[in-house]
Amino acid sequence: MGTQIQDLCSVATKPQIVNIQVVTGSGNYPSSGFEHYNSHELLSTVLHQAQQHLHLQNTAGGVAKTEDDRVLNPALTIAENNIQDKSQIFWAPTESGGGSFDASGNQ
Amino acid sequence: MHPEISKSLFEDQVQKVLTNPELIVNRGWLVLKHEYPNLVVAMRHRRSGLLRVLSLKFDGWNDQPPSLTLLRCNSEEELPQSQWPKNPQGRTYWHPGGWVSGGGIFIPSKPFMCMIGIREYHEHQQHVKDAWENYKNQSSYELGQLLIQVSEVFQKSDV
Repeated sequence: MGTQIQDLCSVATKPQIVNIQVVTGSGNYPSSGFEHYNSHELLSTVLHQAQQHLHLQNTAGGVAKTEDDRVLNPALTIAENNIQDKSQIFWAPTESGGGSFDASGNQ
Repeated sequence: MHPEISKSLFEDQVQKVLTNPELIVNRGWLVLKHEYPNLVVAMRHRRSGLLRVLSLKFDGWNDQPPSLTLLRCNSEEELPQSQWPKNPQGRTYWHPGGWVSGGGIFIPSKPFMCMIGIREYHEHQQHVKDAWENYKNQSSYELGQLLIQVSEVFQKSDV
């Protein structure tokens, strides 16, 4: 039991290489295949690289999700976001408009 | 903008979508037509599994945003208002024809989508001060990114 916990702790702290592709409506980074990242890197670093390569502006407020629509936190690491090897991250601007409405359906 | 430049911009940006199978598959899109100025995309609603066909008209792109309507799945007729998506909790992206705002502002007779980047949003009286000019050169409002935003609203809605 003690050895198992030690092994789990070792896996949790040891950096892993994670292959990631960022998919956007303006293109993907990298355009095909994956970029290699250390699992202890922040997701924001991954997104920043994609932003630079794809020349994206005004990305603040954009939402990054996994293939199964799980929302990711750019302030956390790849490992903390539980991003698996060979993952695609779908990064998109947040839609705006459509104001809140009252019970009568009025804005 | 000269129509040929508008057409060229439209075609370039449509190609970015068409050559991105990762995006198309993940979003559940099927591009049915992409002939300037028309882009017709079928979208599968994840929760219900239902398909809806969205028709966007990009005439004058990108001096003006696209106009959006929904079509029947089996013809090019417009979808009856009763079959348009229903608003997600607390948001009003979809408006019925003849909708009148709390301020008494009357909206055109056809149903429409009320989202920044959609022509009907920027043209109706309640939002004329929120000009498309402020958004058109942002990468988050190029064609593919705009289509994702439409898709996100669609997925959050009840169909």
